[in-house]
Amino acid sequence: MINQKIFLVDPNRCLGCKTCQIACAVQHGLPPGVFLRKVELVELSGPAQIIKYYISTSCHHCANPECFRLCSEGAYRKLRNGVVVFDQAKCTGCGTCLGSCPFGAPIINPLNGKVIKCDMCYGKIEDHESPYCVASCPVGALKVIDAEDVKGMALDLKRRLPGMPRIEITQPSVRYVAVAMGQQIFRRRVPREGGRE
Amino acid sequence: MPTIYNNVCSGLCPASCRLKTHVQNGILTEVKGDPHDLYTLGRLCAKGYTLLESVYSPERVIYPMKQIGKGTNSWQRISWEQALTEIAKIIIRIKDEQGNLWPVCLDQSLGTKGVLNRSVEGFFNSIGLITKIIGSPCESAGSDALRLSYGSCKKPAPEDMLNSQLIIIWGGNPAVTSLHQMRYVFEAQARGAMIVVVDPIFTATAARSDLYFQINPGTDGDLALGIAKVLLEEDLLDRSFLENYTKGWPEFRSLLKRLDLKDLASRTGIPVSEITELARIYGGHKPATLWLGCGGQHTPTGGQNYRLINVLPALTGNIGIAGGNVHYFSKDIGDFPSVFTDLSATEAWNSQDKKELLEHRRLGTGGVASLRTLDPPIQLLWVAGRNPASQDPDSDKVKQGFREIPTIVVADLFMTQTAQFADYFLPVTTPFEAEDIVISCWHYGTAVNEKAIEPVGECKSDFQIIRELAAVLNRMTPGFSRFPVEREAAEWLDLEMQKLYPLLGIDHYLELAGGYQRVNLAPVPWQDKLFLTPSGKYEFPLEYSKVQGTPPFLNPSAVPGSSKVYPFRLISRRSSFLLNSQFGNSARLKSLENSSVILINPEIGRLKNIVTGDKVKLYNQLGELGFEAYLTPSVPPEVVVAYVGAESGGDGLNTLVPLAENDLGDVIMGVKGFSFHQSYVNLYKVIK
Ligand code: SF4
Ligand code: SF4
Ligand code: SF4
Repeated sequence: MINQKIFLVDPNRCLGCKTCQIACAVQHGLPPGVFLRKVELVELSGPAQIIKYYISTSCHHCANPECFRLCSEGAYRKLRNGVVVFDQAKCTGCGTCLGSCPFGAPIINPLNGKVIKCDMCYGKIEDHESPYCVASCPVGALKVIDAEDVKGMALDLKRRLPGMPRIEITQPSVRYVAVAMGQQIFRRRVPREGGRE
Repeated sequence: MPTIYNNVCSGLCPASCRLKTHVQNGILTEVKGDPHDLYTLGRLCAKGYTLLESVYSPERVIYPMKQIGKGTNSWQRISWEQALTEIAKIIIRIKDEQGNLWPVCLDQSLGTKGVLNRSVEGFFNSIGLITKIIGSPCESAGSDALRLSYGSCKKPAPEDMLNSQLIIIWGGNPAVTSLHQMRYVFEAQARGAMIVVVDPIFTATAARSDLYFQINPGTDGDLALGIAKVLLEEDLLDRSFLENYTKGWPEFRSLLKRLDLKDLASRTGIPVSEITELARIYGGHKPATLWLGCGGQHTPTGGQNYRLINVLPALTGNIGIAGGNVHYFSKDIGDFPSVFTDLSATEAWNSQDKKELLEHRRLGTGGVASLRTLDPPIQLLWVAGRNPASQDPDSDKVKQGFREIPTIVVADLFMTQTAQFADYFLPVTTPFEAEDIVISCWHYGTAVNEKAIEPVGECKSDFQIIRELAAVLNRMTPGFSRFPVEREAAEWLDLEMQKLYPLLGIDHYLELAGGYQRVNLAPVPWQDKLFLTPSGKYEFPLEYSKVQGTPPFLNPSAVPGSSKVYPFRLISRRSSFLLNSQFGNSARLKSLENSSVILINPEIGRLKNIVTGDKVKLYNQLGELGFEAYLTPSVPPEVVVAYVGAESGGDGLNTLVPLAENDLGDVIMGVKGFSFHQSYVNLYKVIK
């Protein structure tokens, strides 16, 4: 029985500082501009309020991983703790998985032309340490938890947040704390527009 | 096995993160946060993760260079001997021809915060009286505001925010500038504290607040007065504090009574009802603290505005209590005397000759453009830890000024915009290449920075450079410099730290390697209510001290603003990936964010047919600069927002910012600060 490891992301803490993103890249020796994790701004304006938050995401270690299903070389594996790992030795660099992942998690490593993907730093997890990204976050906006723990948590956890695409088919192993926006006193009515940085 | 060293990220950032540096075969292999750092818990920011690659960056200049013709980019590698001998000859020639050293100018700032940095000024003091660029483009008006109100600029310890029931973050965006302090803010919030943000921009910090107020830029004083008036009307005052510990309350009270709340509200753009709500919240939560950013004081009346904000804790008795007070800057550390600045050329001070100059000539920061118009004009400018061509207002004039100065020496890591006008480029060390001590101006953590590797190429620390220059000068003209060249860095550090040893509870600075140490200042200032003002009390801002000559406030925001020609107010915000212009060379950081993005309200986008991603030009009477548009409801329609340190086509954002003083800064620093947020521009879409 898989006890899936889950990324727990708290948009009410995330500052958008991208420390997690860069900590991962530097500690994996990736060249500048290549990232396994990305931090994005989501900004939506409603009639009286702007919904604005940052979200840090990587591979979602899905329960039904498309990458795993489509890779003809069998380079993907799902570990007992649910982490989706990737074997570079088997990778031919064909790129099929790149298009299959709804989150764009697998990328080509320009250093060797093969796919590279977040592996939840599973070696560290096995050693009861935190992944580089989690350990780097200055405000603790990122955690790895067990699926079992979700039920017992007092937090209001969501599978997606406002403004995020609805992707359920792969059953991503990521949970988000519900975004809380405070009261906002704008000098003028907020125009209806927004976008992503 | 790697050898592990203690280092400190020494750029101009309040966190001054302690680092653990791994070295193998003389090469840096890893730089990590030190988990024993109680302020950071070992977590850096994105910039911190690029420190290692910046040391070995191909863009770093690692040999002394001479430029054949300013701004020609025709550089020749020269030896240190040649560089220092040629510079020494120029200094000696100036002294011979002029009889004094006023034509020599030093423009130095805290590009690196190591204690040994002070040696540069010490060296110049040791050769005679020169021209110094003084003052601060940073926090000076706000610091003066605190100084005038309380008698000194003090702040609570970072963790005192955990005691607050209300945290008002005003004119700052710590989600970008103070990541680690945000940990305390969130912790306080989780314990039930309310977080309020006052800012013209709906920042990343504002997005995480419980209550956000969008204020008209520069009207912070009006809002403070409005809150004060409601506190008075609704009797939310701490009468005992007002009676016992303040001066000028009766006069200030009658002034408040005369003010019209509607009038104040209309200037701030925040309705009376909402100002009333904010006042009730502030008056109803105790302890309440204010966290002031630098942003609000970079306006023409910024100093007055910060004085007025500082009225609020006095009215409610939030001074001298845990969880109260104002978090801004502390001048306590800077007040410790320096053995370096005590250096002087005896010749100058002891002179019986009346014609001999008696003082350094001082010029306000930002004054580079006028250096050639002084009498006598500047012939040699030494720039260390600064990048005025990028960071001073009205950059075009600054660059023009540089062109006219016969000799410019720049000591830096990279070919900055300023260095492009240098005649001599002297390559300096990173924190990993020379020993030093760094004291955080925010949490007072004091850390030893060890030499982990030999300097790359021929780089030398600022200290080593001036020490060798002093030796060359004395070789050519014995006794020219009184800088004790034989004294090693370690000895200087020990001397410099003597005053702080008791407050650190140590006997020698090397003990700092043992773990996190902090200068033991009061975690809550003013508990004794013994203020350092002339009256010994908290002083209400009835008028500015006579020294200032600044008129009393009445109408803080009545300063000319936009026009039909330049309808948008240009406000700069900080990037998470730059410290002013520092870190601008990192390819990794550049890939995270386009620093030349301009935030525009969607209404304006519609009007001008601009969408996100369009190329736009911003222009005003000073120049023109290219940006990429990003439409966002987070900025008000009459404001456009760019990053501090933004560059486009070799020009920086300050090309569009006029050189304008604000109203304070001269009490502590001798000259006023800048109104960075008082620039007006227009924009148009670039058609491809
Ligand atoms: S490090 Fe933490 S706060 Fe910063 S972007 Fe990542 S998750 Fe957000
Ligand atoms: S878990 Fe590891 S590989 Fe995945 S994003 Fe975090 S640091 Fe990178
Ligand atoms: S820039 Fe500031 S926060 Fe970032 S690593 Fe350096 S000291 Fe720490």
